[in-house]
Amino acid sequence: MKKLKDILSKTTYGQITLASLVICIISGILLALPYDIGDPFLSISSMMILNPAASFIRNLHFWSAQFFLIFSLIHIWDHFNKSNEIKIKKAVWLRLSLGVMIIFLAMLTGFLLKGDADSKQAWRILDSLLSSIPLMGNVLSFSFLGDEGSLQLVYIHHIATLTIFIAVISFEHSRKVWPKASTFVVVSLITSLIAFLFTAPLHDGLNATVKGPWYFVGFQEILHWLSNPEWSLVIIGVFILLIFIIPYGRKDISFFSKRTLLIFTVFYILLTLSGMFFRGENWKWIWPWEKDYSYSVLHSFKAPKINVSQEFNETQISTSNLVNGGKESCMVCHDNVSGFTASHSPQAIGCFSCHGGNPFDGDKDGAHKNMVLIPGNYEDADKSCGTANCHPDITERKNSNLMNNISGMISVDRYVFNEQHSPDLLTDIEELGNSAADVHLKNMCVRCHLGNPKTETGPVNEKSRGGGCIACHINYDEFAATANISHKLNSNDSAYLIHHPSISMKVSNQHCFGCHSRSGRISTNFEGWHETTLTAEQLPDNKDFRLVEDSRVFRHITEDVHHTLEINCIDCHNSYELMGDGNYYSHQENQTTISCKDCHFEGKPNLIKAENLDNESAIIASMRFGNITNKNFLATADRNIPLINTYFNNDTAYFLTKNQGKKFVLSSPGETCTKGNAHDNVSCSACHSSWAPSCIGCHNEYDENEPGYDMQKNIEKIGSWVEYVGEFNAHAPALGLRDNNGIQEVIPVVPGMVLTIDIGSFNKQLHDSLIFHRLFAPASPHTTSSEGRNCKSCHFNPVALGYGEGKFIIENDNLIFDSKYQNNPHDGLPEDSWIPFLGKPKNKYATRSNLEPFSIEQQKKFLQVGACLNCHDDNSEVMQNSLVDYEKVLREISDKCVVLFKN
Amino acid sequence: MSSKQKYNRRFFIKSVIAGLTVGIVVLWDRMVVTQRKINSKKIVSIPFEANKEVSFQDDFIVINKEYKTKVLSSRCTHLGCKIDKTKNDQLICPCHGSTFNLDGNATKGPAVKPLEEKEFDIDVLNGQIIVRS
Repeated sequence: MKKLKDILSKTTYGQITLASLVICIISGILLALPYDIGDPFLSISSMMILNPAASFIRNLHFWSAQFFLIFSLIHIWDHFNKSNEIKIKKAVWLRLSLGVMIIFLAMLTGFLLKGDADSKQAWRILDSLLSSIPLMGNVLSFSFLGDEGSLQLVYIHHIATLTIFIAVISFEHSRKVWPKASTFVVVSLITSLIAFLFTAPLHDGLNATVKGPWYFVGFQEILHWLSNPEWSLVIIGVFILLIFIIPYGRKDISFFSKRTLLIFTVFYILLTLSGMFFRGENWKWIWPWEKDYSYSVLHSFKAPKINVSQEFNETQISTSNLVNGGKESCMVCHDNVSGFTASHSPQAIGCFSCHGGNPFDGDKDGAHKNMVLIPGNYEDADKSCGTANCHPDITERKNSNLMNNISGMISVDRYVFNEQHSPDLLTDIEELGNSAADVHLKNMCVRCHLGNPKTETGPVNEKSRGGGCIACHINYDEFAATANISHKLNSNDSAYLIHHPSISMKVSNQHCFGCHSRSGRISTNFEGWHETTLTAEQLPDNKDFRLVEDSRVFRHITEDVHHTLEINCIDCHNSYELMGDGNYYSHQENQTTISCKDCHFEGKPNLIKAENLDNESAIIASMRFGNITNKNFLATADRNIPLINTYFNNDTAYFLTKNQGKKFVLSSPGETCTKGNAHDNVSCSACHSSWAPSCIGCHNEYDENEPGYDMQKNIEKIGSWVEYVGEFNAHAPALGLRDNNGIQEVIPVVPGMVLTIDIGSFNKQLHDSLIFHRLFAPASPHTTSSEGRNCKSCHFNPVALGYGEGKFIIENDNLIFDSKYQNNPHDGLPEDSWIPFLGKPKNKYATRSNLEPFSIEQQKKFLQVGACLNCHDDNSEVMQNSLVDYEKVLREISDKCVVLFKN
Repeated sequence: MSSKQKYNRRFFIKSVIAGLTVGIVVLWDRMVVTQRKINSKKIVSIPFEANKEVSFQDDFIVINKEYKTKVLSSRCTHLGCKIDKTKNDQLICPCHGSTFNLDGNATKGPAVKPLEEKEFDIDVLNGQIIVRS
């Protein structure tokens, strides 16, 4: 122990610096063997993963260089600190002053020789700064750095020019070539230990943060403030001048210079710390408690220790793939994984770009540290799917996508709970609080949003909710699915390591099913299934019944005609509807763009030429359908979005299914739809929806003892809203009027929120208060029939007008409505109605501010046609003429005609 | 030997050294200028993707907006870093966060000067843009 103290006390900073220099030079000579100037990034990544001895020597070289820099600075400070100074010849001192800058340049050239993303940007910055020196700038820059892309000249200056200069001035002022033996031994041992434990950094090529070397991070901060960075060279010049004049100026100048240098050093250290620990992507300031701190700021501190146990066999070493110009340690072990599409295979993008971890660590645990098992969830999509080289333009739209922020769902619920005056306010699931409506949403509804993470591997199924990008884009082939199940049953089964699910555009109806078999039930409607109130135990043993999610019983009615034709959800719904287009919309019908008329158009179609497609549509179209040159695509009327699976040729419009490539010829609407102008304002789905779910008798109550769930945080809790249901009916839907920017459109509507809410059960202070609402909602039933409803099913059907089920009776030119359901005690209307017979609703009546029932006048006109239909057949001359000129037909009525509402 | 002669000799040697130094510097300058000309890539050809609004092609950024094409240098005017990302119709430099709009003008510092606009021709037949240096 005493001997160690002796050794440490007898050495000097100068000796330590010299020892570091010697180690640096020796390790540098050895490092030249594995290092390849023709491909620096590849040779270094190979060293780190496959050649532990080389990696150790590299670390030794790196750490000895850092110590050389630090101790030479301490040595200089020590020298200035001593009261009796050793006088040196002016010329020697000049060279030593310049030497400080030379040391930094030698370190910087070493940094540039890494050839990674940090180095490349640093090269450009150095090039700019050198070129800005007046007169000789361009010559200096070219002489020092050469051409961009080749590090040959940098290498030569690093190993020869600068090293020789440093060695010469070191000898010149110290008169020593070799350090003291004891110092050398201690420094070697300490440096070796650190070199073993901490690997020198290498940028992984993917992380968006690029920074210079640590000793220049403070300088980078200064550069960041300067709009004319050339002035930084003045700072460097002043710095060297201050060092130089210390021994030669008057005592006070000397003191002033030393003080200035000290203050500058302290200031620079602070800037270095702030640059290292608080600056991230794009040099943005990031506090340690912010979400991206670890990824953005600390990624360069990944420093695994040397992996001594050689785990790789010779084949793995020699044939492992290149990713992004370098080697990835993942690929060395996981070298035969299959199941991918070409664009997302390890050969194309490696493993690290999606799964994270450490691609330069050959040790299994080190490589797997911080790995993401299921990438693509919205919480980390920005670091995998959304990095600069991949799909940033899609992930940046995720917050505005209604399927993620579910603004409409939340706003309508709050409106129904009387917590908000309008159902159209924009909000976000992140902003849910603890009001009755928000708790209701958290208990019952909000799991259906894309931000909900997928936490278990396995294919998307009926119970899947959310999953970010991979909610739609993941597919397990039969091998991957089997391997996945085998592994879940037996954790020793490792087949799943070679069978990987694919990331593809094959989005099936199954991907949509989980969430869309709820609420409006469009996934189940599309396939013809209607939910019953039977329990799972009551499931009839009958093909017409089906169990969904092991709990809900559905019965078969009629499927959508498009489903019969094997057309899928994504064949109509385009990428901007599904992934958002960057704009915030209040409700789903605002975010969707497709309408029946876009394909089943009348007259001239809305077309877009292939060369005018936006980039996203063009890529998707060519990936799905190959060469699209000179194709004319149909486009939506709303927002002009190309339908990439259509094309127009020789006066015919064609439609292809995206997943199977089935081809159809598109037909125009039938004559009944287009004859005259009677039905100009009637949407296609008003007539062509064969049925829609119409649910009645809903009651909601909060039970503080009920085991429940917080779907926002995905945790179980006690206390939950409970929903009691009445009946689930299915029949041709009611009709309402939607205002589309001044134009009224007749659309199907269904009971949206016809319910009672026992608000007193949640908020005890409100005692027995009960909210009752009768709100209808706009619907897209997705039960399209090729033949529309017959005329009476709208014109003489109480359901269609919103009165509810029942019978119309005409007695002495008076129309009487006999409702099927009892009157609801809260408002005196039949349970399943929307509005009073020939009446207007009171108070709130719809879940949208632009949806209305027919006015009393409109109801009367509507029903008059119904009266005619009692005698005149749909296809009779009278009815067909009424489509063209209704007033004329009315003028020609006979005495036998029934004329309602004479008064 | 008289001191005047010694003076002349020293003076002569010093001036020859000064002359040699000037000579070397001039040679150095000539060599670099000529070598740069030899090395420079006169004609650069990059792919023309009319559908892509912003396309990063190594030293250039190709912008296609409203059926007009523009080629900008990808060198940030602050310190020369390569700009390689775009967000919300802005080009962002990864080194210090300088931001430019799609016309090349700096919208956020530290960069102040606009990106250099390059002259180019479009070879429609082969789908290439020929950039003139």
